[in-house]
Amino acid sequence: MKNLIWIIVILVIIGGGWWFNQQPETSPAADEPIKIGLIMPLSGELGVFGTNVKKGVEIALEQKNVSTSSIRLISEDSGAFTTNAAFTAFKKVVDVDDVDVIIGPFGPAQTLTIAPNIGTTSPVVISVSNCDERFKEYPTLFCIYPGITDQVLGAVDFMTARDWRKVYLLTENTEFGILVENLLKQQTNRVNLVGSDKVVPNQTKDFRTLITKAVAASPDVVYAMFAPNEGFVILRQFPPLAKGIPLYIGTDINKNQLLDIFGQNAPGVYFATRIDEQYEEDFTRRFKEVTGNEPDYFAALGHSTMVILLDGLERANNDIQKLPEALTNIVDPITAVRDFKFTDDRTVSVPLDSYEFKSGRFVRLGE
Amino acid sequence: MEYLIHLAILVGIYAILGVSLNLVVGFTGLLSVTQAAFYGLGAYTTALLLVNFGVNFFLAAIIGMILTAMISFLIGLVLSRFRGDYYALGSFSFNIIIYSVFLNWQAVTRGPLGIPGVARPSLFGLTFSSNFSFLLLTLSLLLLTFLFTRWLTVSSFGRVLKAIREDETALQVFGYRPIHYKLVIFVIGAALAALAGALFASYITFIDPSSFVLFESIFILAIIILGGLANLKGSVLGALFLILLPEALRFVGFPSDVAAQMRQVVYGLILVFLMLYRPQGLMGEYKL
Repeated sequence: MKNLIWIIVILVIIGGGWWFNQQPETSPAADEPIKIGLIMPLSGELGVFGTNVKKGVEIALEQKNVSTSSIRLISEDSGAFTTNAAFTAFKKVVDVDDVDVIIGPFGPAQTLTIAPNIGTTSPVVISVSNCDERFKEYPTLFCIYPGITDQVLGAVDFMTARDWRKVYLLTENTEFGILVENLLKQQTNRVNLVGSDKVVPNQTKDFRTLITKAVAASPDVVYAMFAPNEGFVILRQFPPLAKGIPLYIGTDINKNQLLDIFGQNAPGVYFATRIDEQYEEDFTRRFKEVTGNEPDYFAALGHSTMVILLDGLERANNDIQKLPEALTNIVDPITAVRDFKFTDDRTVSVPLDSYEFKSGRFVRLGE
Repeated sequence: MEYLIHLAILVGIYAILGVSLNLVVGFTGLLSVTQAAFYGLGAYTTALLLVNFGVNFFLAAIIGMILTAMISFLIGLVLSRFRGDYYALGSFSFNIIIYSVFLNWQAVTRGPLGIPGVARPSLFGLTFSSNFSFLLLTLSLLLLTFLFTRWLTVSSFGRVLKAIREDETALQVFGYRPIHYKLVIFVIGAALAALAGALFASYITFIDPSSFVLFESIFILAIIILGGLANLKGSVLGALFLILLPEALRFVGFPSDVAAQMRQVVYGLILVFLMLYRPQGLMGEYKL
């Protein structure tokens, strides 16, 4: 039996290697479709985000009437947090599928894992990640989530305008959370970080102890920076424990979903988001038809990225070597995320708005 | 071809991990879920020495193995007093503790920011920069690991380990002190896991704590259970199977909307099927 198993294994390896070897060398032909690899978490804890990015991308392709003979989308699951799975998916789409552009992977860690393998002849990579200074050394690597520095400095502006000097921070124990904390600590001339708590993401379901601890420190404001799933929990649990202390939450949550949670009663909640009152209408309508749900920010990002990418490909005449420059020269695109565009250093520029929950609705501050 | 070479490298690294854990679980009967922690210790030590001090990879790997052996000795001192489920629970706790250190000791490990720029190995002016050369290095180290562990398991020492697995109390009657043997094999297993960690860090060139979570220990355990406990070739086979199967399922052609989920479902079903009809694993000698 053991020998039989080994014989089967060896035959499978030889057969698989022979089959791979028989695949024709791919040399680009004029009539070949542009291949776009989508490397996102499509299963597991982050599967909902990756799936929504994918849906946003697909809706953009549909809206632009793009046929599969001109653009072919190849989706691969990168798994949740481990860098291994993302790297393997990257190797597969580059080596086996020979893609021209990659959307993904998800997050700075996965991006930094594949980045050393991005050469000038490799696909253009548009990472679904916070923009990170370390990405800048790779000339064909883009990022679509505004840098943490912009987010935090914008939040500090907001807080100082309200004379909220004492800040208590609740965030994730991830690269994101650590950078937020470090940035706040640097702003000593404007705010005072009176305390902070960082939690392991996706493992904390009840924040009431942390909220109580934060409120007990008597800050002027509790500043919470989390991914949407934890953001929702904090938004539900904070108001009853707030004791008059405002919550400023920096997370991208759809306002209609927030209203469903709060109903009419959530005074003292402020939040920052890039989500406009209404996404581009056709996108929202189509997303609801496909999924039955309101689109979230990840779906909107996927849509916006694909719209920009299609415009960029058109400008570059489908020449991938010219695509990076073309992507930074898109003017006034109609994207699901308002005013989404790439800057010259391949990061993204998206305005950040702050809202206050007042009288049963979210009011954009400055209106 | 690069994709296949990449998979082969992963198989090699996980085969070393499987062999290292099989010494502890398969041959000695100690249900340990700490292997990812030792894997991580080797990876971090190697990465830090390469990035911060420019130490040669092979020297860094050896230092990593020694450091991991020392830490595992301390952990083993505690764990070797336990048996059965308590041993498993204790090892589970240590995995979490070490992961927490990786995540929170930012001054050394940079926490979630990770350590980028880990160099590829070099020896006498020859750099293993191509993936194919790295594969040859991985397979060489796998072969060395395999030969060493095989020698260990067929020796009288190995027979004592099996006796501990079968009946520790009876062994004590014959004057043996199982605690010493358990400690030694735990340390050896940890050092070999650290070697795999060194390879991983140098291959991926970026490490962060997310690669060394408890789930990784469970995955390594699954490798040896599937491959066969107390069978070193089974560890290699288990690594081959568990690394290649999910990749092969990428090519099955499931509808795009459900492809990722179907891969997970089919993967799980195949494992369940194998455990139902071959509970001792593909090449195992006994059931856990």
